[in-house]
Amino acid sequence: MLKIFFFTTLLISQIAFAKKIVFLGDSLTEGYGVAQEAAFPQLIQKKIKADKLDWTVISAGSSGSTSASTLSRLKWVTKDKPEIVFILMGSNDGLRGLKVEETEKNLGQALQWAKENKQRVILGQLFVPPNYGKNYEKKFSEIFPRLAKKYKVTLAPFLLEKVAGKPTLNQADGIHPNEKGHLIVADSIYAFLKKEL
Amino acid sequence: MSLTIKNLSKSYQTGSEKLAILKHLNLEVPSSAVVAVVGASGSGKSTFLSLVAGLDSFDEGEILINNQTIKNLSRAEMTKFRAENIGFVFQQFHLISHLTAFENLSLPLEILNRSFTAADILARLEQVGLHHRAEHKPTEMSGGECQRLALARGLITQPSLLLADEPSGNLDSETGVKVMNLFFEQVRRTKTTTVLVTHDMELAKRCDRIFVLKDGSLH
Amino acid sequence: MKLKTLLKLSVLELIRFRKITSFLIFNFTLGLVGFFLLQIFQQSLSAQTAEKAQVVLGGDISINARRAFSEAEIKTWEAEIPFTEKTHFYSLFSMLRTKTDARLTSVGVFDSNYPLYGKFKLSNQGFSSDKARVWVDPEIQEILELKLADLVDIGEAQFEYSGTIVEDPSRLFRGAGFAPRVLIHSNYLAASQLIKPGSTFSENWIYKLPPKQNIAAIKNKVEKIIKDPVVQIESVADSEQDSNRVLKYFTDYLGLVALVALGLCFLCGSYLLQWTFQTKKKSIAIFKTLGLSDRKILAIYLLQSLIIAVVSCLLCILFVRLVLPGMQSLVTNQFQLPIELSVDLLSLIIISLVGIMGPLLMTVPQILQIFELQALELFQNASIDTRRNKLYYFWLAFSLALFWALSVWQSHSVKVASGFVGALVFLIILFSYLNRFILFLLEKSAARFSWLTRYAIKGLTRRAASTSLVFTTMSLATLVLSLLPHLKSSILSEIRPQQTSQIPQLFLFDIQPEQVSPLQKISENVLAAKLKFSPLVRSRILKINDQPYERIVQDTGFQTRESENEARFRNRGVNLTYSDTLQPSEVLVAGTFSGVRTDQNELPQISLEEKYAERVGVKIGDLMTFDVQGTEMQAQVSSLRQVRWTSFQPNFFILFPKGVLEDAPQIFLTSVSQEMNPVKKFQQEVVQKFKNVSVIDVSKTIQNSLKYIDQMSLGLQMMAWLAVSVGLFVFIILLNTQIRERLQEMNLVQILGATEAQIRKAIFIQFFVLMSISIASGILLGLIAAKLLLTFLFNISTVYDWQYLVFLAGLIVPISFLAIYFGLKPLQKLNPMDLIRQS
Repeated sequence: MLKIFFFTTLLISQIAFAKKIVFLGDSLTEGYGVAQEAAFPQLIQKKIKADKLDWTVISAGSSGSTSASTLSRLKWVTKDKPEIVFILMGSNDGLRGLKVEETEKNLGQALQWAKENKQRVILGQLFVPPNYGKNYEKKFSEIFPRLAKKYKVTLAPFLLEKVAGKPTLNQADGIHPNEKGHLIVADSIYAFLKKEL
Repeated sequence: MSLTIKNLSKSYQTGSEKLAILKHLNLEVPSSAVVAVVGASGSGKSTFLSLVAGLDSFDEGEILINNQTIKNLSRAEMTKFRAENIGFVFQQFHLISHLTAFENLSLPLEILNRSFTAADILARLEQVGLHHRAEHKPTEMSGGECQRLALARGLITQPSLLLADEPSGNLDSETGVKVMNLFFEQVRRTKTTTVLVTHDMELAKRCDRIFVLKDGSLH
Repeated sequence: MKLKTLLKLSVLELIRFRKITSFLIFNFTLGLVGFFLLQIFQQSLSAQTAEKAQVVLGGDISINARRAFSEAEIKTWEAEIPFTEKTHFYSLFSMLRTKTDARLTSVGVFDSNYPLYGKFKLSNQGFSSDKARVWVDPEIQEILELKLADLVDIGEAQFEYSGTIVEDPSRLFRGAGFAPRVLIHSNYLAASQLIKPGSTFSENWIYKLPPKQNIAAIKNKVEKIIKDPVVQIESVADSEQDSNRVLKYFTDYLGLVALVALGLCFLCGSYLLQWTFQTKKKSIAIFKTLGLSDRKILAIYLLQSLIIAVVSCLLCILFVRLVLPGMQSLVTNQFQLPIELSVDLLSLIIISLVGIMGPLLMTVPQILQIFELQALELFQNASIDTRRNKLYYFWLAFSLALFWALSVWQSHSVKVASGFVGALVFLIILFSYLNRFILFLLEKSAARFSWLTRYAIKGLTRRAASTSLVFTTMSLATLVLSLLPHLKSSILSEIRPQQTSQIPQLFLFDIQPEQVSPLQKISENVLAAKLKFSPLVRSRILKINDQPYERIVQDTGFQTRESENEARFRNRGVNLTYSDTLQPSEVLVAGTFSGVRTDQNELPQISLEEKYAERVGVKIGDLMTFDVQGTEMQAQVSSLRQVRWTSFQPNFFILFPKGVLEDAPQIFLTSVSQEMNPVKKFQQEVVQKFKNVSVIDVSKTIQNSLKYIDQMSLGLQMMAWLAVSVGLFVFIILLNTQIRERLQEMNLVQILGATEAQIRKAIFIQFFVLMSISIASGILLGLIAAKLLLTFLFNISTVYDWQYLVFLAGLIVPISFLAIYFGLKPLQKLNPMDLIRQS
């Protein structure tokens, strides 16, 4: 028998009592190139289960998305009233060389809205690869602590800390983590996240 | 007179030389007469025929067919005159190979725009013993049959003059005799004035008169 | 009898029939010249294709990965590659900074050896390493207002702006990336510190091999050594395949044109030989009565054909030698094609083989008749129809097999060749039946007309064999004349948009939902046009018919590159779009697409792109489960679409109806077409107001490849006209011989009283009828054949070139009339006296 889903009403048929955490991000969150189960959000879900915590992980990754879409997508994912939204947006801004002021403004608007709507948010620290130039690298990475401070949100460490630039942990494109990479990403995020749950 | 030739001369220019083929030739053929013109190869039989048929021009003299001179006729007038007054029987039959016997026979009438019925044509075929061959093409007929058909075609327009060019020349002797029997029977019955050009003296003897073409004139 | 005597007899007869002999020689020479020239053009084109591939790749074999290679790795593979030259470069993204501004650029870090084939075209001066210099795409120069000797920063080093990149051969057929290109010399890489731990870059090694190396085998060996699936190994052959689909179509097309030209001439030659034979029958019969054996008569005729063939061949080679320099200058100067026309030994050998074997082979049916010909024929009035014995069919099969082999050689494809030859045979059979049917109808209706018309029509219907031959040949000639332009126009429409107005200048993506209407306003203000926005919704395919779709990867990693690629493809996620209508560049090929989802209780009915559906393994009626950013949803495939990707419009594999995805997180794409003039102003305004929106200027890339295609198709047109002129020549020859055949009959009809005008009218009616039905059926079947060829061989959709058809008709009709006019000339010499003289 086929169950019929309606898009607008179907935000995840999970146990209603479980608390929800949404990963709002780009291709890294989507798990570009790896199966959904092998991407870090689902790996974290497994860890949560193993730790017998009552949390449901929702992955809202969209490849190629930039910080400009953060606010509208934040509104979309919070319709389901998650406990925490973990924002991992901005990598594509950096990779495309967008102005850092623009990225900061976009993220700031989303954080402002979250503050107004009392939505708990964790902001993920992001970097651009060093080849973009020290100047840009520095400017880009500085926006995250500044925003965290301004909007009083928790700042999570860089998720690709142990993965970026390591050929064995990345796919052929050198940017997206492979299955092994995602395991490490999940480990490092969970190490941080466990304290927050 | 059906055919009168007076003082007919014809020569060809070959290089710098002028070759006289016919020299002051005279001939009178009365109506319904059958005459033979015999001569050795190269004596000018073909030239003689071409001139009488109005297919070629001549240097001097006159040809009258049915008392009309053909000298002053234009090409188109000659074509019309020829179709209406002269019938032909060729050594090589010259039938149209892709048309049936019936169609070959009716073609001259159609060209002249004369009315006819299928029965007319079939009757004519009957007369030359080809009634059963009406729907056959020349390629499916024997040489004798072809020449009989050609004979019927030569007579179908009721010409005032029939020109026959070695009609049996392309047939074996037995068939030749049979065809020529039919030939004489037909021209005599239809009272058609006939000039038979041949080198066969036996055949010539069956005509009313024999002219021998020699040194460019008839004897 | 000695060979010398035979030769003498042969030559004497050839001279006696000198008119026909020279006709035959002319015919074969023309066919061979057509074939040879096309052949040269095609080969030069493929050579050029290969060169282009080398230029695009930068060498013969390339090894690259988005990581650094170790010394040891490089040493192992270099042991297997017998290279003569090598070059090493990096490609990475970095910010290029001036004192006031910064832009993302794609940096190419090259050594002095690059490229191994082709050349950079840079403004001002060549690529040099005398100091830290940078060359940039004109786009960057414009935006940053760079002047020569300005200093810019890339990474941690300073570079002197030294000019713009005018032409980078490696990017000729590749799409634009979202960052403009800049070039620096590898000597300054270290100083720039662009490559550090964590950097994303690709490292490339390119090798030039000595000529005549088996590149595929070398590539194979290297693939075996390099175990890491991340490393890409590319060879010229691969790059030829993907970047030159266009050229492949062109060369296939040229091959067919060449064969058609040759086939037509051989058909015509075959007809001429048969026709000649009819007139020579008598002399053969005479030879026979003189006691010449069949074998010797055969020798005489083979010798004659051989002489004709050799003479034609020599004339052809001589002629081509003479015109080649002229053609070269035409190709270079007129059509601006970078093609070097050259004759290689192989083509010379092939041409000679074809030129000599062809006529000899065509003599075979006549030779078979020699054996059957009786001396008796001399005395018979009737002509014996050629009996088709076993040997004849064997000959036919053999000739076909040879023609097929030639087609394979020419088109480099068994499939193309078989389709081509099969279609040809099918058409010939079809034409002969069609002809019989039309003749039957004509004969039936003839009774209604005047005697002249009736007589004229009978002249056709009663000569079934001869009429059929003319009909088939003329129809076939018309068919190919009309077929080629359809092929050409379809190929062109496949590789380039029909309307230049639709060629986009800019691509805009990452447009947020709330930015759509302000952007539309800018467009209306600045461009005075409405843009079409295509929504893009990211998702993953979870299941197809309840079977998991994604590939879980074991810890052991991937066995092969193919399995990795397949898994990555499946796990990559897909872009969905929604719309209530199909785009002009899309055609439904199966099922229905309703546009709007009306019944909320039903599954959304979606449409998939045909080839994508095939790759994913989905049929109509299948259920697909998507994950749209955390939300699962199911949809049913209700239709398949064909998408013309060369429309250069945003196209999607998966299309949803309206009423399903509107609320899902999405971005929008749009493109701005060329006709709108103030595009620059629009671009500036967009960049200023919507900083997140990426604007890519694609005009240059698209224009470049379009220009190339246009030049190419001009060259092709020239070649096609060569085939067309061959066809027209065949036309004229056929008419001429047909009219000659009727001369004696016309003499008789004239003596029976038909006027010259009537005779001319009768002949005219015959040819008018014959030609109009041949041309009509040729054109009609050309349309059908084009459809079949394009659908099954080229696999592209058919675009008929109606304009050309009209043009063709406008050309064939006057030429036919001219041909009839000249063909009727002998009628003026009609001389009924011949009837008497023959006696």
